Amino acid sequence: MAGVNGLLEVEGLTRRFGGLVAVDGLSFSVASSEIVGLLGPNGSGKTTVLNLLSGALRPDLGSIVLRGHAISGQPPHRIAQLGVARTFQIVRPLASFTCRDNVLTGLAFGKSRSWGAAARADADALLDRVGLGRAREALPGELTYIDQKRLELARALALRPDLLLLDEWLAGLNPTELEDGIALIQSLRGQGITILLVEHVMDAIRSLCDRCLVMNTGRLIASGLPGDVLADPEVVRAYLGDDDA
Amino acid sequence: MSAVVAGLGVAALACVPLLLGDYGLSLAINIVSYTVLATAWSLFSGPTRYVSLATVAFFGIGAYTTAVFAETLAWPLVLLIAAAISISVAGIVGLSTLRLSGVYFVIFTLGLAELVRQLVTWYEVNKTRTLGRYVFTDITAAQIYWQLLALAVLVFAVGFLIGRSRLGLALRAIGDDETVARHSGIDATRAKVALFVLSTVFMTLTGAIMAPRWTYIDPAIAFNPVISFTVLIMALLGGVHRLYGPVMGVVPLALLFEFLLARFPNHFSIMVGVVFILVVYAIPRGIVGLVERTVRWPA
Repeated sequence: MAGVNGLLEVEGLTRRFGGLVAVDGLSFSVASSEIVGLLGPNGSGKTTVLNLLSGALRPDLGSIVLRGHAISGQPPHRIAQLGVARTFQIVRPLASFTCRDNVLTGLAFGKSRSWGAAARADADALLDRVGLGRAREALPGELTYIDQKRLELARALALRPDLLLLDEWLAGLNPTELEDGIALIQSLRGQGITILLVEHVMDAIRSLCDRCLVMNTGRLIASGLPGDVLADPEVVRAYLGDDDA
Repeated sequence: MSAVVAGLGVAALACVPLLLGDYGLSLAINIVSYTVLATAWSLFSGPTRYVSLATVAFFGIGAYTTAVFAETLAWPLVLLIAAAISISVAGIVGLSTLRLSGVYFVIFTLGLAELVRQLVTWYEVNKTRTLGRYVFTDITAAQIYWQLLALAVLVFAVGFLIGRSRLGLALRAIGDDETVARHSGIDATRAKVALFVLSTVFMTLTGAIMAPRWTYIDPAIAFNPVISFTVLIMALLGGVHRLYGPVMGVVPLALLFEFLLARFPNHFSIMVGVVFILVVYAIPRGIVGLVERTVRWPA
């Protein structure tokens, strides 16, 4: 899968917390414009992987290479500027900023470094994209949960990322919202954005992901097409225990 | 249009020394110096919400720079030296402490002011063998006032420009959620250190300009921690979310403290303490916040 258009190459990635090895020698690669699901039971290390990729945590061992540049161990703002954007498992909008200013923050400091009237127009366009065109001047606290998630997505997209990391972005949505959310992520595929998403919503995984990686206790236990991976006995065992395998 | 109004306002304020007597001028100097200090304080502490009690450390450094060099060097050079010292001290302090957050930063800055005071005291006692210094210059009170007024104009101009710049946006983002700011491409450490250094330069210059007022200084005067607390409470009373907020707190409190000091010299500290508590409990978002809320939702 690595190949010539490998956007992200992860090799031997390891991170310990005291005695616990949260991520244990993980290696994988993601090709350009792929949507890859990162799955695994709770505590398997998925969010730690996102934190390592986005620079929130430093790896103890291993390398992360984005478009040929080693980004492992770099501070989060550098990684963001180099083209990796993320959302958070629990939404974290900038609470005192209007929706537009939230998005402007990403535009001002991300790859485009745009500012002024042009940036404002871009911010409004991004808010339109995610369906928040009516709430430009609203504060995040006035938005519904899904709209806060849309806002966070718009802020991440404002960085003009090559790689977008979504940490359970679809969690906690009702069925209608979920449909909207899936359609929104699907629409990003055409934009040349590569997406790595941590997700528990199986419908979303099946309809969105080209490929899935499954982790358990910090290691990769399966990878492949979503249907195949979810049927893999070892994956079932990791999720449900021995009896159901 | 607003630039014209501001220009006329500054011109009017510049005439103050010609109109007021000695007492009035000294009160005006007090108000303008606290305006610079409180505005500079909230340049950094307002958006980042890092509460600094190091104001007097830099104010005192400025005062001592004047005390040491004013007799031998040209005045602009003295101010330049004061600014240079403040940039290096604030740069080192900023790089080493702005990773601290919340109460740890507050305690550190309080300790920093005390540390600088003790260092100066130690040096004076052991090296120069005299605790106090005389500040002899031919700078008049009116000249001090004009310099402070110019500094105030400068701090407002700088604050205005930062507020409209990327740096201003970065600082507000850091104040809201530093993790999100970092993941949005903001070099939070650099932004915080830059603003911290900038705000301390204004504090140091205020101290340097004010020093000739005293003719005699010692570490207890120049590094009096009450100055840090006063600046903090003035900024909070006015409101730190707007550039013009702190001055709204400076004017009433400077007048009030003047009144209390004249009428109740023996109970001054107690009354200042009561004022501090009242401000924090009764007007947590400052006068500006209060006014904005009232205007937004008329009763």
